[in-house]
Formats: sequence, C-alpha cells, structure tokens
Amino acid sequence: MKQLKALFKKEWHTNRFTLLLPVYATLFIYLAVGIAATVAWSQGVKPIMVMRDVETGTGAKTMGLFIMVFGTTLMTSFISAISAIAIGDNVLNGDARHKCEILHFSQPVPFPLLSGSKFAFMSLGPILVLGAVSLVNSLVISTFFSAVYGAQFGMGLVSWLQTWLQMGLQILLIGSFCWLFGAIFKQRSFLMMGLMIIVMEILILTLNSIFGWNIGSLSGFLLSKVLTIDLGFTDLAITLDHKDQMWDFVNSGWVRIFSWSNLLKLGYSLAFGVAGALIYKERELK
Amino acid sequence: MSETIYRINGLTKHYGKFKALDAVDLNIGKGKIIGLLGKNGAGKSTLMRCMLGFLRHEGNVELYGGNVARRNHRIFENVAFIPDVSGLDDRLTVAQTIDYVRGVNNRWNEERAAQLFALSNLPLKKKVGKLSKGMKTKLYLLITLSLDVNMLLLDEPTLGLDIAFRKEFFNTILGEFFDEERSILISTHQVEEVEDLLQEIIIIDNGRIILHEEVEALKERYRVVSLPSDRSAEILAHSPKVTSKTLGFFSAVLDSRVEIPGAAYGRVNLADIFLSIVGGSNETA
Repeated sequence: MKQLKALFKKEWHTNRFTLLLPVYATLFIYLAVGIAATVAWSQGVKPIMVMRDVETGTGAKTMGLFIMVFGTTLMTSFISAISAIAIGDNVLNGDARHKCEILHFSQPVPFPLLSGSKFAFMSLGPILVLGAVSLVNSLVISTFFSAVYGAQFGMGLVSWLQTWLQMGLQILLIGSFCWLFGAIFKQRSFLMMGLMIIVMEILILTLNSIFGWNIGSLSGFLLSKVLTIDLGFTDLAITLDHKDQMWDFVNSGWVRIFSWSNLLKLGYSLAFGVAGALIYKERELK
Repeated sequence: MSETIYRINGLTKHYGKFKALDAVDLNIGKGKIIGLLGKNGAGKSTLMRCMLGFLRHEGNVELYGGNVARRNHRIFENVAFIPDVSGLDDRLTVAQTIDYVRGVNNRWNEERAAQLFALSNLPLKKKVGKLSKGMKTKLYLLITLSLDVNMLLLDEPTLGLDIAFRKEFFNTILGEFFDEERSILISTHQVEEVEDLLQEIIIIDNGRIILHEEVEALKERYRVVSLPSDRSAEILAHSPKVTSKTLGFFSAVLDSRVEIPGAAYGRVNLADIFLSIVGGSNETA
C-alpha cells in the first residue's frame, strides 16, 4: 500500500497539469461566461428572461436539462480523452524522455504494481476528473434549469451519471489503445499508432485486391465497433411532454450502458492494458 | 571464506555486432570494496547493467544464488545502483524525490537518511531539473546510501561533485555505509581518491576481465623502476606498456621480480598499475 501510494504520488507530480486539463478548460469557460453575463447585465440585456418566455411543458424542459447536461459532459469528456491519450504515453515513456528510467526501474517495486499503478492513473485519473468536473457542471445546470424553468432537478444528475459512465468507458478504451502503442513505441507513439493503422489499412486493401479476399477494414472496425457510442438520441422521435416517454428514454440509457457491447469494450481495454504492460516489461534499459 | 553475493559466469553481451562483454567470469564476496577500472567503452557500465538485469545477456549472473536474467524488483531489495549519468527525475522536487524513494523502498533507513541529509545543503523545494550537476549527484548519492542494501553498484558516482564533498563522500560517508556484510563495486575516474579505500581491483578491457586481485597483493607485484635516461634500453627490454621521462630519468612500471642493477625502485599507485596493464592514455573511465 505504501509503495502504491508513492507510485501514484509520483505520477500525480509528473502528470498533474495534463490530468487537470478539463478543470482548467471548465474554469476558463465559467470565467468567459461570467464575464459575458456581467457585460450583458451591465448593458441591460436579460437573456434569462428571454428564454423564460419559451412556452413548453415540464417534460420538454426536463429533456432540455437532460440534453444540456449530456452536451456539457460530452464536451468535457473530449478534453478528458485528450488528457488520457497524453498521460497514456507519458506514464510509459516520460521517464525515458526525462532520462530517469534507471532511477524508477532501480526500485524494488513488483512489476504488476508498477504497471498497474501507471495504467490505473492513466485510465481512472481522467475518468474521475471527468466525473468531478461534469458533476459540478451538472449541478450548476440542474439548479439553473429547475429554478428558472421548473425542470426536474434529478434528471440532470441521471443524465450526468449515464453520460459519465458511457464516456468513462470510452476514455478507458481510447486510453488503453494509446497505452498499447505507447508501450510499443518509446517516441512519438501517437503518430506511430496512426502510421501503423494506415500501413495495415493499405496492406489489407492490397491483399484484398490481389487475392480477391474480403478482409474487413481495420479503421472501419475500430470506428464502428470500438470507438463509437450509441447514445440513443436517434430514437427520440417523441412528444417531449409525455413523462413516460422520458422515463423510457432514461431506462433505455441504462440498458445501453449495461450492454454486451460495453462489456466487450471493457474486455478490449483490459486486453490492450495487459498487452501494453507485457511489452513494457520486456524493454531493455540502455 | 567470504560468502558470495554475485557469481558471474561466461557473461557476454552484444550490441548488434559489437561485443561489449566477452565471457566475463567474476565473483563478488561480501564485505569488499572493489574498484572497477577500464577505459571508456571497456564494458564497465554494461557489466553493471547486466548485473542489475537491465540488459539481456548470454551467460549466467547470480545474485545470492538467484538468476539475474532480466529486470526483477527483487534484485533491488539487495542492490542499489547509481548510474554514470544523472538519472534523477527532473520533474520532481528534491523533497518529492526523497519522498518517492522512501515510499517505494521498505529498506529505507530513516535514521541514516536524516544524518546524511543533515550533511547536505540540498534545497528541498527546488525542482531536480534546476539543480546543478553536483547537487544532482549529491542527491542521488544520499538517497541511495539511505537504503539498507547489501550491495552498492556505483558507476562514476562523484561526477560533477566539488572536491570537498568528494573527499567527504569517499572518506566518511561511504565508510559509514560499509560493513563486513556489505560490498561496494565502484567505477570511477578518480582512482587516486579511492585508492586507499579499495580492497580489490578489477580491470576490464575490451569487454574482458583482465585482472581481479587484492590491491595490496597487486601493489607488491609491481613497482616503479627508474634509471637515468641514457640507460632506458634496459627498461625497454622488459617491454613496459607505459614509460615516462622526468628530470633525466626514465621510468616504467615493471614486475617486482625484475631486477636491474643500479635502478631506483618506488611503490606504485593504482593508476600506474592500470596503465602498465592496459596501456594507452592516462584515462581510466
């Protein structure tokens, strides 16, 4: 436990800025909105009152809250995904870049603990930061929507939880994929990952055209099966004033989260994580 | 008979086609301070890295009877290492570095660490990357010597240190770490500074161990022979690898058994012995 704590602290000290990118971005947006609102108020503009005049039922307003929280969580999760990608490379290759691999490998830390702490930091770190930042956002938005429009406060939190879980899994998957390439390539791993996918794609196309095979596209597979998320909004052809339909929508969200395809994504993530760790273990120190 | 810490047989390491280590056989017992000398590129750092499992190699390296074939954290429960390059993490502060090493090492000796760091003037809040080279070396030395390990591998440990701290390190700090249970393998340019400390000497050249002997026995095997310059042929007849001319005298390090009538004999130092065995310039990296 003492070792794990020390390892996490080391990763925290060396990756803190990247990990907290979503916090900085959110603070920047709050600041920008705050300044804009202050300027607007000082000029007599009252945007809230204008919006209040829109005549819709409670269901539609609650759905608006749901979508608003979903949208902000989604945007934050993009930044979290970027920080997971950067951390995935940095926890594996940062020590080599800073010429201190020997120091870290000269400590009596069991390899599963070392690689496990790096993987956990890379994956859980951005997910937890995303959770915290988006929770604050959702509380702010929910408070506003329920106070001003009478939307159901709790629905904002449901939206946050669903989106966070869904996007958290996605971050885990993307981070693990980059972690694998970070283990393979000590330098420019993200670029090498892109190049490798392109090379494999060309190879598949060449083989298919020469031998008449029908091997599926790798990038197509990654995009359609691994990296896409079904958010269920395409099914939303409903009159939003019906509460039952909204609950159906919420329930279908839970079904999508606890689905086989997500379990498969979890499996992919773990497989990428283990494969990356094993490759990392075999590295020779110069 | 001393217990063996390291037992190395037929250790060979290739970098591509280049053979960095060539069938090295070596035993290191406990309670020894051993100097590892060799020219640049002779294989000293490669040998140490193989002893730590950092490099894949042919042959057998055993630490307390256990095979060292690859990286294994158990090695570092017994061995601590200081590399020849400043390998500290420049993203951490001094305090964070100490905290990290303390946290991951069960063998961190708090009492000794407090004593050692009291001797230093390291700025705890400063980033390692902002320290001078000497300060970095000092920090690496102090965190390493705060560990209760049985074997220290020091690869050029005092590079960049000022002369005062080097003396303190070799004369006091290293002495306090050492006892009859522990061994130190040290590779250094400053042979003269460790000369009185070393009990054994290993000379490595072109990846081969060409000498492993106790320092006192070695010093008895060789001596400096000096003759007037006009009699230099009598010395050259014994094919010394290195000779010198000073104030009308011609000198060389020769085997103690060599007797030349009228010659003056002097005690050798390790640098002289190294040069007489390996030859080349006066460089013992």
